[in-house]
Amino acid sequence: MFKDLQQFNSNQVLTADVCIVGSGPAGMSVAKKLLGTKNKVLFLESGGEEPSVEYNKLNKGKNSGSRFLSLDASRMRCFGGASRIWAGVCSPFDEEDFNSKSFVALSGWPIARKVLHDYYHEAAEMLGISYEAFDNSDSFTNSLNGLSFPEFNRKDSLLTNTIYQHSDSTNRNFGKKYKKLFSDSKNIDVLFHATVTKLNVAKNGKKIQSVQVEDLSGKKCTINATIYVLASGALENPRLLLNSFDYFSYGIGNENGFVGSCFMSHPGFSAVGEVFKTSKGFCISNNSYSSNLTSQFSNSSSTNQSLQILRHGLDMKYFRDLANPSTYFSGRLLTEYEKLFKNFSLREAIQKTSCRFKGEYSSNLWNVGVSIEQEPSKRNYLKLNNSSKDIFGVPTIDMFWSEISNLEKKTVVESLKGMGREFALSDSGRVRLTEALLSEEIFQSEDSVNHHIGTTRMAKTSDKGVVDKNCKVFNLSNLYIAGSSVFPTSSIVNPTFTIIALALRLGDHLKSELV
Amino acid sequence: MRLTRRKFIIGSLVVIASPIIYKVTVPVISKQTGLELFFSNYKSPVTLNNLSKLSCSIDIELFKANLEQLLIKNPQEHQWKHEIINIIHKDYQNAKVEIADGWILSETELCIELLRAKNV
Repeated sequence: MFKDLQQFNSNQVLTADVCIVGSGPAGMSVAKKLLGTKNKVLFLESGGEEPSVEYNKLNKGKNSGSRFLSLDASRMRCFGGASRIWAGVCSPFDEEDFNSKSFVALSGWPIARKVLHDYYHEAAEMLGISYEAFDNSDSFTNSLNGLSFPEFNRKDSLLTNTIYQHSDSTNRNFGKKYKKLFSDSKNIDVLFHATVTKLNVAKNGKKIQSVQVEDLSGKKCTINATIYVLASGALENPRLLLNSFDYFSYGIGNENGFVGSCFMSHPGFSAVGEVFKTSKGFCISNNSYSSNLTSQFSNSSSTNQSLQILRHGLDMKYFRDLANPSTYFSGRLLTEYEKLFKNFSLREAIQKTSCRFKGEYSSNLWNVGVSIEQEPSKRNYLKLNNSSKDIFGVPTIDMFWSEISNLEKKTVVESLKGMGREFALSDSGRVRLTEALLSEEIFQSEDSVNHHIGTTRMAKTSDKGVVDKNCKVFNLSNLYIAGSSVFPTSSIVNPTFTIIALALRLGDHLKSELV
Repeated sequence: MRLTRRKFIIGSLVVIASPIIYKVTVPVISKQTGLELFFSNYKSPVTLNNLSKLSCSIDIELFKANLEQLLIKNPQEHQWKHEIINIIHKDYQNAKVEIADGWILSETELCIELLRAKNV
């Protein structure tokens, strides 16, 4: 049932078996598992059923690090949360992501990839995509990248082709998709305009006693539950834990300073390399691949391990040359004249033009972009800005996102080297690094990906993280965290698919705990 | 079969001219001229600028000596091309690559270009 905090009297105490904080993809997936059970669930949403400017203002904060992160992009305070605005790009984490790496200090998950297998299946069903389609064996016949570079489809290829599927807007927007399911629910009450401002620890210090919620009109209520699940995103989860300092002065779960630390995203750098294909050009039809699938090349897992580099994705974009009409209207004749004329070939231009007449394309010149996994590091963290508070008096976020580390820079260069090696081995072209990469100027560019990962990390023991393998906060019996904040490492693929899979697993775990 | 005067003259010319043509068109690579002939026949995969600022990880004199040995053992163009391609292939397989003027090249490819710049 849908309810609103405005309907309740101030200082009222609400009770439930489970209290879920946040109705984004993580919270929604946990809540969905609890639908139809005997347990009473209070599902708290800071905003309303639809987005509003007033509530999104609560996401404001500042950046003090050398890299800028937009703190209000990719976040939405309303039913469905970020599921309302995400692009729906899905791919599961690889086994490599879960393994510990000798050259990354805080790498490795306390769970194996196979633990999530069934939950990935379930997440794929929720998102209206096919889990089987992630099988890489079809990546060269199904994706544009694969079709554009069939030379890489060799038995001994140094590169792999990671498949991404796109969940369509009807499936990826959980706020709309599951609205009726929750509004009709008998055991789950969705409580709108209930912004959690503080978690209260019980007197024995071993569990959460209650959470405090408020709305913009100043109404306050207390919620007492048996189990609490924080699912408000990798920026808000640590903010709430750090602001709950009445019992533990350093904040909840922060005995070892990991709350808010090890922030990760997927920094992307466009135009870091140029590909000059020497193999015979051919036309590629837009109809010859599934538009629902995209892919990224990357070095194989074993290469990453032997070169000691992080995961990465190589994006290929064909260079719009003189055979492309848009070149003449874009002003690139002036800015890129050298590249345009130096590489001009009449034979290729005729071929490309004939391709274009058929609605297809061909290119021998490509730009390469790289996006990378970040290493978990305490250099990247957020803390509370006590000199700036939101309307509820909760300190806003002060983000310290540091410059790209040496390992991350090495990953960018080595990933391109791998691609250069594969082009040479398959005798299909040559790769050149751009001046922006060689001068490292590219590493100063702003990030637009806005994936928030790792601020309440999962670990085997409390000295390395905040939550255990079941997403329970160490040393507290009834506080769980859902979402990408628990990821110990960031992988290279978009996080939401794994957020959902991991939250579904948590939902099953809670069901077994509540029996 | 009757041997006409025309056939006799043409046949004689072929017999006399063949060794001369062979000598001119198929170069026998000797130690003295091997490198020059190699460089005139080996096509660079890319064009490198600022060669004087570049260096390769192998000692260039040692590389030169090894290359000369290779050319002595494989004097015919198809022979040394085959050998060089194999070496470059192994470089790429074993990640023996360098960044030169932005280009990703194998160690051998870069050394050849540096040696070319030194010798030509």
